[in-house]
Amino acid sequence: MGMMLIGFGLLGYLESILPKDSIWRTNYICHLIFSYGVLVLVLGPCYLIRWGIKRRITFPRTGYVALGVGAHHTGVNGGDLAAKLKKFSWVIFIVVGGIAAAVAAGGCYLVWILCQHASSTDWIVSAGNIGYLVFWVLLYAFWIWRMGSEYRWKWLMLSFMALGLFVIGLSVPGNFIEMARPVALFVGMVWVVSGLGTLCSYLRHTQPPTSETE
Amino acid sequence: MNEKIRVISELDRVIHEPGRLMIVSLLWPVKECDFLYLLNATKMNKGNLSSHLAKLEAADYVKIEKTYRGKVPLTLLRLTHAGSVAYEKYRKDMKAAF
Repeated sequence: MGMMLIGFGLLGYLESILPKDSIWRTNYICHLIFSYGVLVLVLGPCYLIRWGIKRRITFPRTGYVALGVGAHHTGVNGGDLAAKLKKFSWVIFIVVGGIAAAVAAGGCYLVWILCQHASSTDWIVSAGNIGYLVFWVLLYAFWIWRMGSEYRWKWLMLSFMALGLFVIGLSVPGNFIEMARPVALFVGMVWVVSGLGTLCSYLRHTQPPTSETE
Repeated sequence: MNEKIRVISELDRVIHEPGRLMIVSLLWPVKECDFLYLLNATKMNKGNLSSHLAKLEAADYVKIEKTYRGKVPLTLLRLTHAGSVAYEKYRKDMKAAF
């Protein structure tokens, strides 16, 4: 997810520095090749790294499992979610509520600032931009919540992400396209760092078995 | 009510044992997994897990495939169709009973 966002961010930046009459911009086929080329160059190595991590690190430590037929009709995933909802503690509720309130307050403040500099009809664009920033914060919050209580430190990452997006929103007001690039890069980087943290935590808490006697 | 409770006496005893129930519940939503995954997920010891798997294999509920990943032995485990049907029936019966 993180590398995909970084890929999209890079693609946006690379497109912006291409000359306007470049064949990679004007020709539809070339533009498609350029876009997919950049994404494949970023995502291809990531796929290989992910495969290598699974094969060399996670399978020998905690075993191999292939999700497949049966998962969709078991209701097991739904059951997990219901159990988590039931166990939802007040502490997490207060933390999430606090973050959501801070994000909402920040969003309102941003809308107010942007409205000061924009014409009266631009408030819809500004609200759209704020919604776009809030979307990433909420998506990441949901992701952390789904991961469970073992990864409470990720709520700090969420605060960092919210702060970073707030700064980006302030420094790049008005233009959605210009804002989308740094947002994609920043959110992607936060996601990658968060993933590396999870990997380190996994390595600390697991050891490969010493012998194989089944 | 009593009739519903009587369903309990007809439960599949191969699956009803907690260790085996845990194994089948873990195998049901996945395509396949290896011995180490079940060992970590169930927190049983190797002997216990092997013994339960042997019983499930004897009942034709689990398919065990011994292979190699490179030079490392790998035991792949899969729930059979009969195992899946038995597990679904077990769940249905338990729900009906309670």
